Amino acid sequence: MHIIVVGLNYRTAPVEVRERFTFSEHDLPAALRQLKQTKSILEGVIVATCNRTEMYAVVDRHHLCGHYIRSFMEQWFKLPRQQFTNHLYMYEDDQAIEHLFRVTSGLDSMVIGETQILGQVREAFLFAQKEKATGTLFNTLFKQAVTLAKRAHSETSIGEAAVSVSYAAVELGKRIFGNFGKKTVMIIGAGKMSELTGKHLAANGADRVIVANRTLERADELAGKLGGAPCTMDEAINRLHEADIVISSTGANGFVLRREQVAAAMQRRRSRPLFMIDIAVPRDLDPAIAAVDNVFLYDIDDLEGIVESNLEQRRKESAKIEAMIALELDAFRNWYKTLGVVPLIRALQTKAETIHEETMDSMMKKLPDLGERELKVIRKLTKSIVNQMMSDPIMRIKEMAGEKHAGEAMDLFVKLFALEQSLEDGAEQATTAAKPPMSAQPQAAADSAPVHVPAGVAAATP
Amino acid sequence: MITSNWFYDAMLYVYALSLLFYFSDFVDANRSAKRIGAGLLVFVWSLQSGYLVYRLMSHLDVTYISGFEYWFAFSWLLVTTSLVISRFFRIEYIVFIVNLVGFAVLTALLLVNPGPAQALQPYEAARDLLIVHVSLMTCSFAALTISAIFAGMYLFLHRKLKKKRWTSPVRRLPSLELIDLYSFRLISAGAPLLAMSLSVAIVSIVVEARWSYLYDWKVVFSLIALVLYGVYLLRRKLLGQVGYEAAKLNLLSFGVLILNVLLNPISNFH
Repeated sequence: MHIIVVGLNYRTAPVEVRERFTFSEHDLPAALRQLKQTKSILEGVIVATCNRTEMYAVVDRHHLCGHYIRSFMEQWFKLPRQQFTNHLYMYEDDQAIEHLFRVTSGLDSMVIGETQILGQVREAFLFAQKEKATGTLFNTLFKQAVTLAKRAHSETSIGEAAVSVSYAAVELGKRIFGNFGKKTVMIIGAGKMSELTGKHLAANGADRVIVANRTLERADELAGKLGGAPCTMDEAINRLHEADIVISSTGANGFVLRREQVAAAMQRRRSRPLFMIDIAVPRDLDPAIAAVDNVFLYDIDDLEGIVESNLEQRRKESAKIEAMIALELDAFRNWYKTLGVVPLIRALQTKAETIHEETMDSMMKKLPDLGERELKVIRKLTKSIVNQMMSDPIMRIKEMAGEKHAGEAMDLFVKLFALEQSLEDGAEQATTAAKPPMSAQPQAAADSAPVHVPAGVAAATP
Repeated sequence: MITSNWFYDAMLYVYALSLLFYFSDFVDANRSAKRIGAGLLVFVWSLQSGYLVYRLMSHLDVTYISGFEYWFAFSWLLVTTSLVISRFFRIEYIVFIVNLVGFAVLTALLLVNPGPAQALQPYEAARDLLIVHVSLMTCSFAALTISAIFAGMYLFLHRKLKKKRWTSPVRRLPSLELIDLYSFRLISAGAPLLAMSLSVAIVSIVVEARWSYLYDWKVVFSLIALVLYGVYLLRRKLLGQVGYEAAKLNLLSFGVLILNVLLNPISNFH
């Protein structure tokens, strides 16, 4: 059994290609059903976002699985494979698992460290689970991926720093004021960028907004959008001392505010800080303003520098998450290896139970005078002996399943306890239960997945 | 073994280990290290509490109050406050810095010998007042120390923001406004405690009629520090002075307080 992922994302396919490979919410159940019915596929999850479409699958054969998934895509999207093959990527086993962990943690996202993808992967998995398209492997793997991603976001600061200019302005404001409650924002110039930044500040709790513009009509319009008050430029200069945050983005050629004007306003503010953001090119605010005490002046280059620095910080944090991913991958591998011993243990338990029952029957025939109570005590004690005898071998084989020579150990285990016949019987039952039509036996299909795991005693790990 | 007292040694080692974990968080935002550091700090606090209780119980009759006990209680107060901050507030760096001071005090006490205390001369007629004076002074000093740390953080962050240096500490420190608020609140608590402590001390001097003690360097510098903290509070309330200037005045006041501590050797009765 193998885990594979086939997909395309913003790196491998431009938007005009990606938009042809989307799954609407309405179509997803049918798509999952068709994917699951595709030859060789035992479990499936489809992750479809604006930046990626990926199909995760547990397959029973290694070589043709890519071909089968491409066939599914051809049929579903009604496009010849030549049109999309070059945009596809495919990862198998460890690489596929690592890819899922990276995607879920936001390391593979366009904006590294974003958290939206975590919710999207989780939704995709829950949907597939609801549609009975997942089994033991994906139920464990996707839960592990989601838990890892949550841990990555809580234990590192990958998602904390702003990665857009307008958010960088908000973040800077928070370094000065903490929150924007009871703070007054003055927007000079009714441009798009100042509108966006003003909106972010208002959304973060800014109490009052004053919009100043050369034309009062435009100021009035933006003030209406932000729930603020309009004013003229002259008024704005007179009311500058009221503002805690000033965002300037006019189309003026010269400076809109000069050092003396700001210094005069600061006299009236006593020592309260003033945060000024100049996102205009050419600049609106005289750079000499930065020298005024308690004024923090930032222009567009400063904000872009912060964004770049934050991205760098996110990249550094991603190294920590890569280390966490490596550990999780090991943990999954170990768990997967122990899956191989499940039928062995089950066979041993079945054999022991059979021996126990036969012995009890024989004893009851030889000692027919035994009362109900005596029989109960004897049954309990003999069962206890059997369980205790099996306890250590079971524990040891579980441990050995995660070690290097797991296959040999499991072969030896089968030989020592003579489990060949029991395993053959179990494998036959598994084959008859495998791949029932989803519509006919959906629950059985999901539950049957673990039965596939030990194709042989030394079942290969991914 | 650093000292002959294994309990004290254990406390120091665990404290150092806790600080190492906090340091890891300090330089690299390592949250799991911070959690381990906090756990160890709780252990340090338990050891310190036990040791403090043992020391105080050993002379309940108050025949003496040693400098060791005074500073040990001060360090304990810093650890206690930092644990409260760590539990109820998310203020990056403060726990580490406060505990650096606490650890420095605890280590410096090795010079005093953590074994049997060296008795100080108590006021003969006002022993009870002495206890009140020392207790109030310890609490006041702890509050004012943490306030001064906040003031230092304010100046640091203010400078970085002014120079547009967007570094990791800038991202992680609390906002200027919040730092200023914490600093002010701690002074609001520390300065009255300092005033009460000094009042008690002056009352005991008066009770004993040792008027010359009023001109002692310690007393004079303590009063100067108190006046400076008073100026800080008045300027804040009456003139609305906050932020950078307030932080500088806070540090100046604390500097006088530290100078006051250093004046112990030339004091006639400390």
